[in-house]
Order: sequence, then structure tokens, then C-alpha cells
Amino acid sequence: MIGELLPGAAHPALYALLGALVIGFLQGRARMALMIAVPLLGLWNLFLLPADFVQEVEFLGLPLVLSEMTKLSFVFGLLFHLGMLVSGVFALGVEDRMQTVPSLLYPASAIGAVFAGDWLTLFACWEVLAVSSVFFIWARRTDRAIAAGQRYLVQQIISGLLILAGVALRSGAGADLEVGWFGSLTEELAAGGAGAILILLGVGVKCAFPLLHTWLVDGYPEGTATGSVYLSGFTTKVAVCTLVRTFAGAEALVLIGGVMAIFPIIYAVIENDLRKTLGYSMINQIGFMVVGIGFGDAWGVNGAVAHAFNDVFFKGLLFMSMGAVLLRTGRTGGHELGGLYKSMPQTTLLCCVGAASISAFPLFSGFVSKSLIMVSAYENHSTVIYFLLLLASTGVVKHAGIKIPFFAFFAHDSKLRVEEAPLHMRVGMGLSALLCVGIGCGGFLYLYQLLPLAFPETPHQYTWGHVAEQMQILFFASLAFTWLFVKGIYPPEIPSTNLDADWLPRKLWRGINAVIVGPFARGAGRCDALLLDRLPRRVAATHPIAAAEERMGLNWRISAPTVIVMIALLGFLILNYARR
Amino acid sequence: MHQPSEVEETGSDDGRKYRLDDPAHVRRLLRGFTISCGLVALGGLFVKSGHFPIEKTPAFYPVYGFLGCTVIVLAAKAARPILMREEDYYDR
Repeated sequence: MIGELLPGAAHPALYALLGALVIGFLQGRARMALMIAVPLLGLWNLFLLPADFVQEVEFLGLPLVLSEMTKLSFVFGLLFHLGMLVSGVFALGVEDRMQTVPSLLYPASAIGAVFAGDWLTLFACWEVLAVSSVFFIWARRTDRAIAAGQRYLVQQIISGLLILAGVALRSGAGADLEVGWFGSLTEELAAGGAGAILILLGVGVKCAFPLLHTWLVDGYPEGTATGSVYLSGFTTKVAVCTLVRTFAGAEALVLIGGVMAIFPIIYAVIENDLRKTLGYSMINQIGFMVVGIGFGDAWGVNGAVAHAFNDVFFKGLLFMSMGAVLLRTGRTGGHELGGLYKSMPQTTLLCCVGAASISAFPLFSGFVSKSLIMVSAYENHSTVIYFLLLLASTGVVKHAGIKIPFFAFFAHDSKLRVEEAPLHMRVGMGLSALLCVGIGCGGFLYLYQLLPLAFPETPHQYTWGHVAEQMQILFFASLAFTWLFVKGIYPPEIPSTNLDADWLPRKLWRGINAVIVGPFARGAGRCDALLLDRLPRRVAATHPIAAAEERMGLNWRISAPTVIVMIALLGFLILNYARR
Repeated sequence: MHQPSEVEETGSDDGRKYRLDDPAHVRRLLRGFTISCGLVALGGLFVKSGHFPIEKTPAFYPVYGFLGCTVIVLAAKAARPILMREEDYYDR
């Protein structure tokens, strides 16, 4: 038993989970030490674990696989530990318990999810991931953030419930609980299996599929300065990993990914909030990964995994730089920023490293992973998708590579003169930047070895042809931006709301609220008052024992929701009885 | 409901002159960038790259990169009147 707590035999998420239980009681240096120690200890454990490591338990007669070491789970485990470390350093100055506990619990659930071997364990981690992450939004403590957090949480929980429903349907049809490690449901999906479709929708919500994506661009910009950095690193990457495990090679994903790579660019151009722009940019990057997973070959799947790996650091770096800007200036709107390079020169430089990486500039990390997906598109003779992704690449240069650093740190001078970001934030950004450059300049050779599938031939990214191709795309997309900006054609930054797929549910919910829920709540309130307040009092007035209890403060009080649930259960019981 | 505690005091213009404040310097930078674009395109003519036949066309990537970016921006600009609402649209 004790042996299962030691490095080399412990569950990969164990230390993060234990840390999350303790960190709420610590402050100052002790808390900081734990924030750094937990990911380091976790990494030590991860590297010591044997290649055939499996943890199985029986729960209520069901065989559960709590963790299973595979190439895929290892690379994502490594990613999440590094992400936890880098984000932890960046957030070292945060004392708020509402954020410190999730800063370990959220990565723990992400690690648990990618190592989980069965659907129930995965589902449990999936829901903890949802619940723990929402605190990064709520911790902002504004009405706006709390409302956005609620919308975020509802969609995350629905994602888990869709998966659970799918798993239940499959189990009912005799399937076992094993998740599998590569495209386990692809054939079932092609055959139109309802269970597989529900699971795809559930994973699709977390993966930000088109129309299911609004939680991301709604929630992430509302997070705290450090919280959004965490948010950007884990949820969607867990979804990408799960997508590889379940639907690798599903043709529908190629189309879905293609749409995801293109449509957010339009929004990113006209979006004023720079962190929301990053949210759209994130959907665009996940689009590349989804295309790769859809092709299902070694190039595509390895490219998707490698790109997910790099995305955590370059997108994290961009979110970090915007977090530093938010911390120092209190704003992230493009129209009210600009000229910050004068007072935040180091943050500016680090932001530019993230921008170069996401633009897939040679020698930066995005270059070595995105190109694998492009090779996949070419190898699969998908001409349309290939040129679509190439177009999306030019869009990335513009909306993330240039727009983010340009409107925050250059453009017109907002006359804001602030302090440089705090040291721990600069160190966190520096570590991310180091990974972006390190992976782009040679670290990719190690990363390629970790990828789940064997390449049919050794990938050569740094050929003259490929570098020249990418440089031309990047330079001329930048030239187009410059020309459009100088000529005044580029749309100006205007504070606004841009309608997205959440228009219908949000308006519909308002309508439902006004027409059904509101009157019902008022009616329930009256019932509540009658049943739980006036009636007991009247009984109390006439009944000696009740009156005595009332005097002693023992009178019963239950809330309206409890009564509603009780009535619903009673109704259910009666219906069930009648059926027999 | 209290406001975000993470907002700090922001100072105002420090009165210093920075190099990018000088329009002549910005013009020089832009000229340098345009020239390097030309050099990159020129270099591209001598390197074999791409997979599909159309990519072998001379100056394919410069044209695709420039037009792609322009088309996206113009499309977004055209979408703005349809998509854009006031900032507090959902709160009203």
C-alpha cells in the first residue's frame, strides 16, 4: 500500500491530487514551494514508471483501470506536468485559495483523464476537470465572470453527461467499459452507432467543435490573469487526447477540423478583447489537430499530438503575456491598449516569441508540429484541405502572430505607463519561451520519439524547400497586414459583442426564463411560503408538541428545490408502481 | 460584488521619446521589411518546394500568403455589420 505512494509506482496524478488537498492550508513560501515541488515530483514519478504500468481495481463489481501507461498517455502526462510547472511559476504570486486549489486539482484531473483506461474513470476525471476549472473564472469575482462561469460549467457538465449517456447505451448493447488507445469507436461511428455519436458530441464540446465552441470564447476571456493560462493548457488537450483514443481515422473529423481552422479567423480579426481573440485562435489551432486525427495516419495523429504539446506552451505564453497586461493595466481591449513596449519591454519580447511560435516561424515550435499535419493532408491527397490549412496558416500569422503583440504593445500609444510584469510572471513566460524555441531548434527530435505512432519515414522539417515555403507565406501575410493597416483598410478595434453560436441558446434561455421559469419560480416561492412557513406556524399554533419544538427552534425548514425533488421522486415512484 | 483586485495603478505618459515615436524611423523599418519580403520572394524562386503542381508556379507562396491574408481581413470586415452588436448586448 505504502509502495503505491512512492515514485515509480504511484498513480501519475497522485501527487497533484495530494498537493491539491494540502495547498489550501498553506500560504507564502510554503505554498510556493509546493506549487513547484508537486510537478517536479510528478515528473520524477512519471519517468520512473515502467512501460507496462497498469493500475486496476474493482469498484461495485466493475473492473476499472485507474491508469495505464502507453505512449499516448506518457506524452500527454509529460505535457500536463510541464504545463502545471510553467503555469505554476507564472501564478506563484496568487494567494487566493479559490485559485491555488484548482491550480493542482485541475491538472491532476487532466492527468487522470489521459491515463484512465475505462470510461467510468475517464468520466469522473472529465467532470472534476470541468468543476475545478470554473473557479479560475469565478475567482475574478465580477458579475460578468460569474455569469460566464455558469454558462461554461453547464456546457462542460453537459459534455460529460453526453459521454456518460453514450457509454450507457454501448454498455446496454453489450460493449465493455474499455476506452481503448487508438480509434476504438471509429468503426462504430461509421456504422452510425448512437452511443458512438453521443460520445463524439461529448468529446466535441470539450474539443470546441463548431457550434459547440462558445464556452471557450465566452469563458476564457473572463478568467483571472493567471487562471486563463491554466484554462488554455488542459481542457482542450484532454479532449484532443480522447479524440485520438476514440475517433482517430474518422473521416468526419477532417471536415469538422477544416471548418474549425477557418471560421474562428474571421471572428479573431474583428474581436476587440485580445484574450477572446486568443480563444478564437485556439479553436483554429485545435482545428489543425482535429484534421490530423481525422486522417488517422502516423503523420496526422503524431502531428496532432505534437501540435497539442506545443500549443500548451505557445498559446500559454500568449495568454501569459495578456495576463501580465491585464494585471498591470486592468484591461485587455485592443482599443484601449498600445505602446506598452515602452514600459513592459521584456513581456513584449516574450509575447513575440509566442507569436512567432504560433505562426510556425522556422526555429520555433509551431513550425515542427504543424508541418506534420500538412504532410498528412498531402499524403492523403486531400487537396482542398491542404490549401484550406495553408489559408488558415496565413490567418494565424495575422490574428495571433501580429494582432496580439501589435495591438497590445505597439500600435497607437495608449499613454499607459505601468510597471514591468512581476518577476515570477516573467520567469513563467521565460520558461514557456524556452520550450517554444528549444523544441523548434532541436528539441523536436526528442518530441518526435515520444509520439504514439511510428513514422513511415524520418520526418525532415528543415529542408530548404519547406523553410522557403513557410518564410514566403509568413512574410507576405505580414506584408498584407502592414499594407491593410497603413492604408486604413484594416478594421479598427471597436469594443463590441460579436454574435456567435451562443446567440440562440442565450436568447432562448432568456425567453424561457421570462415565460416559464420566472412564473414557476414565483409560484414555487408562494408554495414555499405556504407549505414551509405559514402552514407549520398554523400547525404549531394549534399543536402543543409542535409549538414546543417551535419554541426550541426545532421547527423543520427545507428549501423549495428539496420539495420539488421530493415531489418529482414521488411522482417517479408512483409511475413506476403503476407500470408494474 | 467587489471589483477585480488584480488591477494596479496605471501611470501616465512619462514624456520620454522612444525610437518608434519617430515617423522617419517607422518609415525606415517599413522599407526594410518590404525589402526583406522581396528578398524572401526572390530566394523562393530558386528553391524547389511544395507538393501539388500549382505550388510549383513561380511566386505561388508570396501571392497565396498576401491574397489569403487580404481576403480573410476583407471577409471579416464584410461580416462586421452582420455580427457586431453593442458591448452590453446580452445584458440588456
